[in-house]
Amino acid sequence: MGSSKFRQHAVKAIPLIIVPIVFLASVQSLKMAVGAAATTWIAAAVSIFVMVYAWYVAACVQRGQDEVQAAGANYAAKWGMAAGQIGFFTLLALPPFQDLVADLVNQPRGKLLLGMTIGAVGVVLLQTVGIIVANALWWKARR
Amino acid sequence: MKNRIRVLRAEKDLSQAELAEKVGVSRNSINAIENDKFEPSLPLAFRIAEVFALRIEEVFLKE
Repeated sequence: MGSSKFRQHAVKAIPLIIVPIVFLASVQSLKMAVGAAATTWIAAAVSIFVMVYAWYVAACVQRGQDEVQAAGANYAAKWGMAAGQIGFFTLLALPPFQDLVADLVNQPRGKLLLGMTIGAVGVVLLQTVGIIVANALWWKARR
Repeated sequence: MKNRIRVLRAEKDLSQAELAEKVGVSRNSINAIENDKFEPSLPLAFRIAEVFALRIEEVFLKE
């Protein structure tokens, strides 16, 4: 990938960093301004935006890649995803991280930990289901 | 799988970037293929062989 293309993709990916940071920085003031329930809906909307936009950026990067670049991207995605998940679970096990997030969202640590664990396990389970379904579809299309 | 791309390029006085443009991949990709770090697909191998006006087995050799 050329450096100008890399720059283009990097610029396109900026909202993926800015939006969550702005949201996290304004959680407390949002809660006070619009209430906890509305903040939860905004959090859900931010999560959906980040996921869909990440998908869009990934599609833009993949378009126009040759087979060697695609193989590199597949390798990076495969191992990067696994490393990211392990990294998150490791962070989740560290009390300072738990305290940091609990302070950020102003919730008791136990409640927060339970919610995050359920979320993380849910992601892994649904990813597993997604992989099984995608694999079945791939083979079905080639029978 | 080994290949003779480096030698063939030298004979034709072709840079990696020029070969990359002719077959429609990046220069880094040609470098990876040339150094046996990546085995190209059959269509790409055919395109590379076509540039040198050779048969595929004259460019790519089974070890």
